[in-house]
Amino acid sequence: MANKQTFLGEFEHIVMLTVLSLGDDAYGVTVRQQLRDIIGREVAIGALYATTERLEKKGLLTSTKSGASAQRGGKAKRYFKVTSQGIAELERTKQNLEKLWGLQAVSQTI
Amino acid sequence: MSNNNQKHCPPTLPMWLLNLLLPDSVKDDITGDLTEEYSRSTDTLLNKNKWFWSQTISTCWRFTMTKQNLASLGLAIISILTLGIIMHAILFLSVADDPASFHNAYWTDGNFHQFFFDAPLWQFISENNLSRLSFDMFIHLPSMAWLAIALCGFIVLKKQLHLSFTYQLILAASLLMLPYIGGVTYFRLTDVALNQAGPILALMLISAFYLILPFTHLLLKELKSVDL
Repeated sequence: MANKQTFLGEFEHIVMLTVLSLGDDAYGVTVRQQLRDIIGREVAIGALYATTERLEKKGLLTSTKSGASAQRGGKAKRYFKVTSQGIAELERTKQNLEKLWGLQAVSQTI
Repeated sequence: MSNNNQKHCPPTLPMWLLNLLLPDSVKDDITGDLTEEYSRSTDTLLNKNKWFWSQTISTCWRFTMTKQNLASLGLAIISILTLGIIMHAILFLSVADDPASFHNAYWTDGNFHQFFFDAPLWQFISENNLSRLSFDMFIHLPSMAWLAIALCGFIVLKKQLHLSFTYQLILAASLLMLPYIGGVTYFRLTDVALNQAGPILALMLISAFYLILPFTHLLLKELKSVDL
């Protein structure tokens, strides 16, 4: 039987945690910077926006636009926020991962 | 432009590409972010430009090579190729004067599809006879009537039944093929003389010729809103 429940992908998971960690300053540049600084992952800007668009469609992220400046060619920043549904999804993913990490065979191997 | 400005302004061509190819929903966000990172960078101008180009190419690739765009491109290519073949088939039937071209049984025995795989048509296409095209070859009242019926039927059924893209595609293909299938069935069931086959063949081909572009347009419009 098909499993209707959706799960966070690895990159979606990482992006949501990064947005959460940045608080009110989560937009494209800072999210990419944070990913580079914290986990050393260089992310293409297209990949980031394709993922945030998908997460917004799922209702896990919201965004607002503000902060246009000359340094950005007059373009506003799109600030992201994790929704309450997104936080619940992160918690569920964490619990699932912890269950798997807690399995005896895994903990004995790693 | 001064040297200082050159350091802060991203290169024009990739910026133009981004504005051209990115969807409106992310265009300003991505160009704004890239401009900010570019102007903040303390790297050499050459490295900054290389970085900007690589970001532009990967971003444009990701947003243009979507399933929707590829499906639209595939549909458009298939439609144009089919239209070209049908147009040549109509032209062949209108101008071919060699009686040997009409000796095959498939003209009247219900196996007309064999004509599309037969050497004379492909030889005719390769000879580039397009200069012999004329407007009146494509005027056919029964096909015009079918065009109106099929298009109205398609639009009404689509709205009434809220058809998905797949069902719309099946419906369009069925309406396009119906005169052809009807003609083939008629040839199989009835003994038609070659000199009486012309009007039936005309309906089979010209009605499809009329319908391909409108159906392609409607399906491409629908494809834009489909979540593949």
